[in-house]
Amino acid sequence: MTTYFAPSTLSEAVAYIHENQTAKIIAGGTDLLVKRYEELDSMTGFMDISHLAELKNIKTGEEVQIGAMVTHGEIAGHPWLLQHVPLLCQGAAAVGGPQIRNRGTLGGNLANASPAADLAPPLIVLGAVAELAGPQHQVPLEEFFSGPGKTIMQPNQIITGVKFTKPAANQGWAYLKLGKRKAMAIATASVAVLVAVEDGQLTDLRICLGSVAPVPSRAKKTEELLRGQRLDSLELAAAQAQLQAEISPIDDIRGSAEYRRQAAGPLFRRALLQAIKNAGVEPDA
Amino acid sequence: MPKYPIELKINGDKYSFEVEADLRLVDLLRNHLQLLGTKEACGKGECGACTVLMDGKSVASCLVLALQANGSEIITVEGLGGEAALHPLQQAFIQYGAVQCGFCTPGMLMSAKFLLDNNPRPSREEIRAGLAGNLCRCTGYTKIIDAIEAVVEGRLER
Repeated sequence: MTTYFAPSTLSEAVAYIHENQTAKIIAGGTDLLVKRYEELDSMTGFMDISHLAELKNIKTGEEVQIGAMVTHGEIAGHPWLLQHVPLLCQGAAAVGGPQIRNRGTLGGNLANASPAADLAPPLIVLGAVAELAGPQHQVPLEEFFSGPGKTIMQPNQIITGVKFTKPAANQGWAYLKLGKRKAMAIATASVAVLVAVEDGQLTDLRICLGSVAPVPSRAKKTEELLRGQRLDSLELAAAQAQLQAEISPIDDIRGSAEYRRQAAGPLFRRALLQAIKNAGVEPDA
Repeated sequence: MPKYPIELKINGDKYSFEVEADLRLVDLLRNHLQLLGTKEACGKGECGACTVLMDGKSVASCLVLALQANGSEIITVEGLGGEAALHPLQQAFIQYGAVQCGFCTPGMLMSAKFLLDNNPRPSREEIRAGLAGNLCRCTGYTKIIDAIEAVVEGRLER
């Protein structure tokens, strides 16, 4: 027996999911209904939060807050985000095709917890914090994923949005995705890079990769190796080798582990150079 | 299985239904209303054959629960235009031979409509990106893009 409930407020949603923990929370349906297609009878019920106005806001400013029910299309085309956080817009624009971006949501992309989720690497390098309701909780997005399709969320929790600090003017960014085709592809490997550049020096950076580990993951040793280096003497070959050493890709339908390891290196190198270029400094490489 | 009431507008007309929770929008359109222009091929949002407009936005109707469309306005290919008054996009598809087997055509038309509603003068590259969620297994993409470009550039024969 499949039931359906569409709460009109967040508190109604929280109360319902507390009482009905086997109900599936549905938003845009672009992941859930694809899975459901193959397991029609295992669904006991839906709680549809796609109409929850409280979760559809984008708050701009020094602290950016994006509601869980904001769609990929809305992020990709948001004038303020395009100007101040283009990295996130690029991640959103890499999701599916137009029909998927018109329905799929930020909250769904994160809750679905695919290692290939296009919004996760950009948000993680931005230092985003996931906001949960039910038992209220805030958690760095980096710690939100616990495995393929798994998060630290309790069955009675709902993701309500993310927040992060607006990148500074001296920061540069890039998101690159390797897939079989431009549209509709699930990433074989993806990488987001955010750098801070001052006086010809890479003062800080964050690197996050998708599809090369059970969860979207920072390449912290590579970050450490590059942090503080001068742009005119970047140890790119060493950084690339370090990155390839610290990822843990697997074989699947989209690519072999070996292919992923090979491809992630140059993909990261391109993203790093693009990010540095974006920060307004031309590297000598 | 419990049923739930919905009301929605489809191609300009108001309807009310009682539907089950797992009924999809594509099932509602095809099986309850016999609007057979909307096709289903993959059922997983990959092919775009089931594309309709929901509140002005293109969606894969196989990935929307009928209950989620409650209160919304749906336009299918039948609402785009008919034999008596073809939409310029439909005219262009005929004129440019942008139809081979025809199965992808309704979805292509609805994606093209969404594109032009939001960007009336897309470049050829933007047209290609606008159709990125639609597959044509006859691989007749060039003529489809030519047809949309003809509408954009006002090159249709009347």
